[in-house]
Amino acid sequence: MFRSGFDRLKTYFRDYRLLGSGLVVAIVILVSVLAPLITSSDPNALNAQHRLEGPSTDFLLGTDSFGRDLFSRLVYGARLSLTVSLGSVIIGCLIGTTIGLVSGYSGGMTSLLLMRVVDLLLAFPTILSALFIIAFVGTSVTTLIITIGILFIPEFARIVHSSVLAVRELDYVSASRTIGNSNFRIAVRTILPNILAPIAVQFSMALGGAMILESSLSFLGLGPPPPASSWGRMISDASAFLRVSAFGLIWPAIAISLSVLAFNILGDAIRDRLDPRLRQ
Amino acid sequence: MTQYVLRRLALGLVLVWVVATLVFLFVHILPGDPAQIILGGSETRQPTAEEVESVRVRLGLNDPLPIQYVDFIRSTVQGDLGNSFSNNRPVFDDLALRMGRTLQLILPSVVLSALIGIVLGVVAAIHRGSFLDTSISAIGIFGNSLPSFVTGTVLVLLFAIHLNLLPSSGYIEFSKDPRRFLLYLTLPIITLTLGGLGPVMRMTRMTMVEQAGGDYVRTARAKGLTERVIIYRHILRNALVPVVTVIGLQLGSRFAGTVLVETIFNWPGVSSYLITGVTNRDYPVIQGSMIVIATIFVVINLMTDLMYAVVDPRIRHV
Amino acid sequence: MTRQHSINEATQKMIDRRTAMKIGAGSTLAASGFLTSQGKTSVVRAQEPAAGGTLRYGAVRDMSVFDPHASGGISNSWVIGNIYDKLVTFDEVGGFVGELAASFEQKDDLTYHFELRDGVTFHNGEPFTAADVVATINRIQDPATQAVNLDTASNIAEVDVVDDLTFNIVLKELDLAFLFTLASDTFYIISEANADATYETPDNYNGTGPFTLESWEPQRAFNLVKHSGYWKPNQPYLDRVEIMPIIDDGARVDGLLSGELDLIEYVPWQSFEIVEAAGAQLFPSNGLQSYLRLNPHEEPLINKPLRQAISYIINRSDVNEIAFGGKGIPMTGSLQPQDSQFYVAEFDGRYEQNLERAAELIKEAGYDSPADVPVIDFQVSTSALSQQPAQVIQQQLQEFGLQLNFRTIEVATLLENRANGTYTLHMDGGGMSWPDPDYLRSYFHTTDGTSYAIGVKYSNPDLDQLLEEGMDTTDVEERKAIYRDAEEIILDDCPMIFILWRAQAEAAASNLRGYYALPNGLETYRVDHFEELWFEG
Repeated sequence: MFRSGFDRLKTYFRDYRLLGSGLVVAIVILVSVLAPLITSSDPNALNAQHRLEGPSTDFLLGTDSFGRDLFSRLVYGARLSLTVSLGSVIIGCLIGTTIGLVSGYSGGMTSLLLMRVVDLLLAFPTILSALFIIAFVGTSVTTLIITIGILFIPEFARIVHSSVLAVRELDYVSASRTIGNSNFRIAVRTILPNILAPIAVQFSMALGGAMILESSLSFLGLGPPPPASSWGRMISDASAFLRVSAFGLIWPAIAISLSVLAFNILGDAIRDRLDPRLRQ
Repeated sequence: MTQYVLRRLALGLVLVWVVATLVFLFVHILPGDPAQIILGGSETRQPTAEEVESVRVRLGLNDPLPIQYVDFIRSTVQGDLGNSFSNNRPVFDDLALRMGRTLQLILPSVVLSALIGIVLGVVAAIHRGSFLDTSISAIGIFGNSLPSFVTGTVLVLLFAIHLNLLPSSGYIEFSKDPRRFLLYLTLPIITLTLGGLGPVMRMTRMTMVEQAGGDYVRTARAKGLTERVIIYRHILRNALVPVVTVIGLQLGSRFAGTVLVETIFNWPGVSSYLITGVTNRDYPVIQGSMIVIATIFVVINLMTDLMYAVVDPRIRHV
Repeated sequence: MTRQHSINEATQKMIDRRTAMKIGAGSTLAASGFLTSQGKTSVVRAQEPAAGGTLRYGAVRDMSVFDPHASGGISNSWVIGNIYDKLVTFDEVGGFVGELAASFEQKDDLTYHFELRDGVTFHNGEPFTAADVVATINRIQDPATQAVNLDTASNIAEVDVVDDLTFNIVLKELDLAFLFTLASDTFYIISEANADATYETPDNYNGTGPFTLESWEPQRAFNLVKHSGYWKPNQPYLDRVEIMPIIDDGARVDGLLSGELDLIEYVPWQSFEIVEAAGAQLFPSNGLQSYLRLNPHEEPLINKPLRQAISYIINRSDVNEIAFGGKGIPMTGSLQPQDSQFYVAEFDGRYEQNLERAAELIKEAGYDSPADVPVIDFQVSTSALSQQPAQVIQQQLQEFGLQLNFRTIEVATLLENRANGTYTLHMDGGGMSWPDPDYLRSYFHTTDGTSYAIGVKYSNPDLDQLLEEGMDTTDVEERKAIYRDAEEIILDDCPMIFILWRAQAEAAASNLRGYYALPNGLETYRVDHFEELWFEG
């Protein structure tokens, strides 16, 4: 399977959607990693005399209500949003995949129970669940990553579970079992590679979702504590001053939209690429 | 079939009970004392320890936890969700009131996003591969990607502040002033509709495309039926099932998911009731709201599953 | 009674100064700041008030406690304050004027003489007499009522009723704040017949005030209607008052600007310009403070030079600019409002930002550099009024080199922490308990303090003694000296660091007449009686 996968890589570059969204994602990642190189101003430095100004030579994108440079806040905000999103999706993916594997493979009562719980968690509005967890553990970057991570477990568990179910009955699995391979071996060697594709798609979509969740929570004031420049928080800070200056809203709004859009399109493009596999 | 329904019902009840118990535990573990909050955090006067104690006793907070739990379950089963700590009003009544207001947001927006989404999805599917298809799909993805608070705030900026056409936030009863009510309703509904469009549209398009490759379509074509009949009478009808599922799920998750919209537009619905309850450590409000929300989910989930079971007999035996 | 009466001099002089500033050296009546005649002071009207109309009032909070004696919290006074009367109330310049008391005088340190108005009736028709005052006092004295003014009432030795309309109140100990308490928002006079009534809902109200409660839509509105038998002739002018709790500041302001509301409570400073630009009336004041509470028993703030250093690092005027739009008044020195006669000019500029001094103090505290100071845990509530200044302060402290752990805490948890003293550094704000330097006692007195000292167990015996002495004398010069010394201790010790006087306002539609803002320090006792309001045109 993998060999043909590498071959496919070449054709990926000809897909415009993939290329475009991949580019945006790459930019976001680069900006977050290279933040200190891109902007030298401190995102938290206050300037009482330059509040709510528009773009100028000193402040590329303008200033917010505290007189902080919007451009550097945006750049460091990318780093924050990406860290939280990536961290949480990785957690959700690892734990969710494990649960999905266990559930899909064992079947029976365990599976039923696990999946029912997963279903309930899935249907529950993520923001509410997040609110509850946060009321408890408080807001810091770490707890946020764990909270959002937990909330993404169900999605991965479900995808993996159904993929496993579909793959389980395939010939090579039965063949593998007849040979005498242990369950664990079967799971890892034969099933896992086959579900990598749906996981990859889910990963990308989840990144978009995590970014939305993180910015929503920051907007509500439950995100990383100030002066952290999460994009969501930048928007809520700006909301009180819309009549004076809209720049504080516009830049982070564009940033969030483009990033999430890119993740979603990327996920879509990957999924379409792997369509035949997902037909199961 | 009835066995299936009963089994799912029983499971649903168990789930609601689990939620109730978890929430009960949760509120009691939360740091923060409701009695303190009721007595007020007036800057210049803090309540004495005795005052706090007496309020705790009045609220039954000093009874041992198991007793509080039993009381809680018992009264809930009887339909009594207790009285709010903040204003002593029955939680049930306030929830009903708030539920109505949240429904005023959810129902129109779900219907609108369903209608618009289906129409767009059908168009996109019919003209699959064309520029129209791509642009509609783009709209769909776009709507999916924008968090509702971004959409909402930008709409406020545009329509309320720049163009001054609509109020930026607020609520008034329809009976009091229908015109103003509709004005207040507009921006939140647009926000919610835009957010809900995407999934419906994509699901419609996807299932229609899937169905179009089905055997029965080939047969229909061979029989000589017109394209139009094929599309609308056969494909769309079959495609609608999963679409309706998506819509149903949206309805369910919207109930408390309108947090952001209710916050931005100050719409006094269920979400803000719950959040205020959490902020005030108003145990009955938190517990009551969560139980009602969980029940709604279970019911909607059940109905969705039922629909699946009706359509696909295989599932009944899961 | 037509004689001029001397209320305790301290209060009188305090009001005098304010009065003189407000009205100028005008009539002797005004200059005394204290009237014996009926009605309020000089509100010169351009034309005759027109009767009729409905006032729609936007309040900040909903009512949750309906008991006229137990409801603390400002937003409750609109409903109760319009349904009930008090013995005395504030006039436009912060002086005392009789309400149900036609006249009153302080005969000596412990005795107050009251003569009640004749012909006043409760809403249920019963006549108002001294017996009702007695019933009121008894109810407040009963611990079961949990009255806000239990302390004041407990200090009443006896109520000596002379006849139906005349009585004396004799105190056990001198209470400089006695009249003030009577005029504040929880000494409403109830009917003797209602002495045992409970107030779980607002259905039992029976007062002597200008309005009655017609209906109540929970969490939406309180609908009051005019009480035509009100004892003030031709008043109230309004037919109805609708009081609606609107929690969100923006929505409340929008309500006023869109014409849905006629009078609103608490306009945040960010909206001052919009309100004025729209032609509405703005009534600003600066009586609430923004401050830091420090825990002098927690590391590293146990170290006094470090606390002082923090006060020197903070640039209060930047905090004012950024967090309050420049509309606040930085407090670099004295802790009294600038127009108070107890304001100590000597302390001006004491804590103007001085980074060198701060650096010296850090060394004095035993640290080689700011980076060596352990991380300070900084708790801030979710309220914007705390968040904004806190962020500026955090930034200033961090720029200096100190390390803070900024934690946003929910109000509920914050209250608990405050009561138990489980915090190190804490951003907060609030008002003076009453417009007198004695307000410091509620913060700092070891046992009398209700707001700060008790939580963190702050105890300074010298300060305690000064604060007690300050309430034991009526001599103004003596009190000035006492409180100067008290402030010296507080400024030196830095248990709390005061940042500035916040700005806030109420606002009214352009056609509303009769509303005025009470002087600074009385914000919490805003005009709660709407009988004098009317609509022009």
